[in-house]
Amino acid sequence: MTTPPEAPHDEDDPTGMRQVLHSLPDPGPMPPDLVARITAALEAERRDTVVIPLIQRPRRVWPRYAAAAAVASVALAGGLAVINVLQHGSADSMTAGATIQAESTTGGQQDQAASSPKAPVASGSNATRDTAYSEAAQTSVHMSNRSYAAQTLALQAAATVANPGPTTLPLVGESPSVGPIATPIGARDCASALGVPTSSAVVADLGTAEGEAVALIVATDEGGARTAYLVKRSCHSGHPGIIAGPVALAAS
Amino acid sequence: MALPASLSELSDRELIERHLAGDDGSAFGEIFRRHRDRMYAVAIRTTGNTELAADCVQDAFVSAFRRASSYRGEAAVTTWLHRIVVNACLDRLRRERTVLRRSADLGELDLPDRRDDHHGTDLRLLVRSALESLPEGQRMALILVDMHGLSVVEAAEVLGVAAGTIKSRCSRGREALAAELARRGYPPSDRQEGTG
Repeated sequence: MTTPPEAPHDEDDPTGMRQVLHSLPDPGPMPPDLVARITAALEAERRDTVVIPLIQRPRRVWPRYAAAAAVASVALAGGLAVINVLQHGSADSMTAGATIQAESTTGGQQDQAASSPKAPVASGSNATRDTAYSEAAQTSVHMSNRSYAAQTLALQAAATVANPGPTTLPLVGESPSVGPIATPIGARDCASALGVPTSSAVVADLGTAEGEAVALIVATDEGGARTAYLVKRSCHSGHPGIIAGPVALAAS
Repeated sequence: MALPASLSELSDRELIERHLAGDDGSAFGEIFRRHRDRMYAVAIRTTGNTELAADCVQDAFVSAFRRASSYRGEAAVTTWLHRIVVNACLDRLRRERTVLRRSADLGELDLPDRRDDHHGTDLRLLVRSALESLPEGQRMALILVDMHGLSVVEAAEVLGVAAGTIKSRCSRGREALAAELARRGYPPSDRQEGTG
């Protein structure tokens, strides 16, 4: 809505300032690059919601649903982009949609790889690049939106590790409401803040606890011992934001 | 479910209802399309900085998407969005100002240098600068009512105060703004003579 408001009456403003303020030029429409950026952020939010029910399917049939989710995600993102263009004729919407589609394809491949819970996904990328990426390669990040509780943390964490669901897509970490913990490097940074050694594998799952956005962190050391923590999503180096834990999980 | 093409015919409230019912994101996409320019303008006028405004308005729309259930339908959707955007801007502005104060670096803000305040200064920058000198409550009341055209009642809902408070903030804010502008040489003396 860019229609300028009705010109103010000056009877109740002897200073004349109302007229001065009203006469200032409008900042203009939202720039196309910002429209695309916010559209992508909203699309990431929507996609997080879409994949949630798939995680709660029986484990035995999971790989089939993961593949279906990847295909559906790509189709939906592409479809939305087309709808955007058809409705609004907006080239920037199409650009955003195309970007999301590319991200979804990458994510889908990760989802399929993640179907083996005992093999954390190398979602960081090339393990030889540097230390951070090497550590990130032992880190997988998921977004089940499960509701966790401190009292049942051990049981819930074990269930999550056994059936973690798809990894988060790269764009999710860009969302200001989710943050860096949604990326392997961010989750590893949080694990370091918790004192988890770099040799341990880390599984992070974004969920809730008592209505608040939280993250579950499960570290598995070289001997196979597993420890779970519940932390705030703001968890990062120097500021772990522990809500519950550490809790030792039963051996698998 | 109706075809996506019919979204443009739905009211804002119907779009929110559809979004809460769990659609494919297109209902909120339509909300964003309808209100993005106005919310961007609010963010620009509140922060006075294009980069900050961009971050704030993105935070605000993502927040609105996630917390759409907090919309209780008592006010117009646009008022609810205004509130979210204004709060996002004020939160961000307070944080940024703290950082700037600590670093004593004002280079990132689009604020004019006071040394440039003379008769030839662009009115927009002059007013922007003068607005910055007002208390936050008065400044926001003037931005929403006088610059953005909201009614006193709407501005009261956005800022979470009584309508009477907005009226008094506007009145005192205009007086303070006029005094501040006069101190900075506005209106120019030749213009005063011409219009008098």
